[in-house]
Amino acid sequence: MTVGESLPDARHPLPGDRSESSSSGNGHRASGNAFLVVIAETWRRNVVNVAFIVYVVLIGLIAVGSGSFSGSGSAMQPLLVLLTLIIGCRIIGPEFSSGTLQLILAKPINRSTYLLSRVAGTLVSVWTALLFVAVCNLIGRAISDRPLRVETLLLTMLNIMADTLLVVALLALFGSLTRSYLNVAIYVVLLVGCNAGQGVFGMLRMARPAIAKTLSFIPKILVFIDDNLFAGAPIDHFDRDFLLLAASNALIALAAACFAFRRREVPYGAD
Amino acid sequence: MAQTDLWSRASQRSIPIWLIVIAVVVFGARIASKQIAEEPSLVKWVPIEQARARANADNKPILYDFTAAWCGPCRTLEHEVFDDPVLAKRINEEFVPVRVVDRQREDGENAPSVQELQHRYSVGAFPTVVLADASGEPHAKMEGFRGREAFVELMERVP
Repeated sequence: MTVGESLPDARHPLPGDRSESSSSGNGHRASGNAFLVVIAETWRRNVVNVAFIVYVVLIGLIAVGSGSFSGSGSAMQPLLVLLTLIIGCRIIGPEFSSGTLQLILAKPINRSTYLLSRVAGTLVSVWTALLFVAVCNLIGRAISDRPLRVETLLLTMLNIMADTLLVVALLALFGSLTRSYLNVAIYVVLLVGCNAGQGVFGMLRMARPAIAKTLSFIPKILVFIDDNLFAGAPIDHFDRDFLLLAASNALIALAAACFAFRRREVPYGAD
Repeated sequence: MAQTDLWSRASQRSIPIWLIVIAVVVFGARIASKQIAEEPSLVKWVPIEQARARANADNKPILYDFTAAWCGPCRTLEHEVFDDPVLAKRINEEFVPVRVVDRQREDGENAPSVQELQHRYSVGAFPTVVLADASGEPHAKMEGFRGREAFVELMERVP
């Protein structure tokens, strides 16, 4: 069953629906139901995926064995961000290319509601993996008699949740502007480009100081993008500035994604 | 049918106001958070220029903390070591603490004094902590943050 097939239709009463309201009224209620339906369906599609299960179990085994999940230099954060990139790339872009979006939007569901519920479903999937890995870490610590630093573990989880929220929001924004899997391509190009660009500019500064001085606005732009979109999350301590940065930028990205998606022409049929 | 058309046009493409409101509120909180003055550091950092003279006068080694604003592990070091009252007191009593902040990424270049120290102690990563005597001779060095215990061990390596 696809997300589109599972959505309620306002033009026909839902099973068990005993109300006799107008079709427009049904549409609003169905849209609210659809929010939860899409979240649940997105989550289900992710967690029953064999690749997802294998990847998460592997991270879980690392968490049991290493015991450094909540410590400095932990590999868990990059591994979970990578998982977010892998499953987040499917948020909206591929539905433009496959033609399923036309079918889905024939239902009386608000476009922003649909986009946000896909984002929420993806986040719930990632956070399910995070919870599993955290439990694995606790089990590993209990088995090997290492100290259980619950506060540290919770702060690590909070930081990873904020980090993945920002990643998913950016993928939703890039996906709402492009097709197919180009959202993750844009993300990676920006991530690599910002760092590589700063390196290249550093070389230019040494080789051609005069040109570098004229173009000094370029590294400032690169640093601004890098600091705002790819801010390094703290590992295991509370960092108010990072949490607010990640949350505010994610919300701005989501609002921009909704704005772009509402105006977007949805093509008929697959590419 | 007319109601369905109305739904399609008006409701299907509306943007949820609550999302915009929350985004504005959180962004406002982020701006306000930056305005709040940060608590003064527990470690009494000494300016680079005064470090040698202070170390000679007090007969203490210098603790150089090479850091950068964008460096995540540097924040962990700050949180776990320099914000710890016990360790901060010990650092203030036993060392002349000097913070050397790299601004290469933000400003394109560093101040000459920062550049000179980075070159002298071969700083290739952040954070780097160097313990040196008053003449500048290094006695111990830690690249990256390896935890509170490793930092305490580093401090004990100075005679």
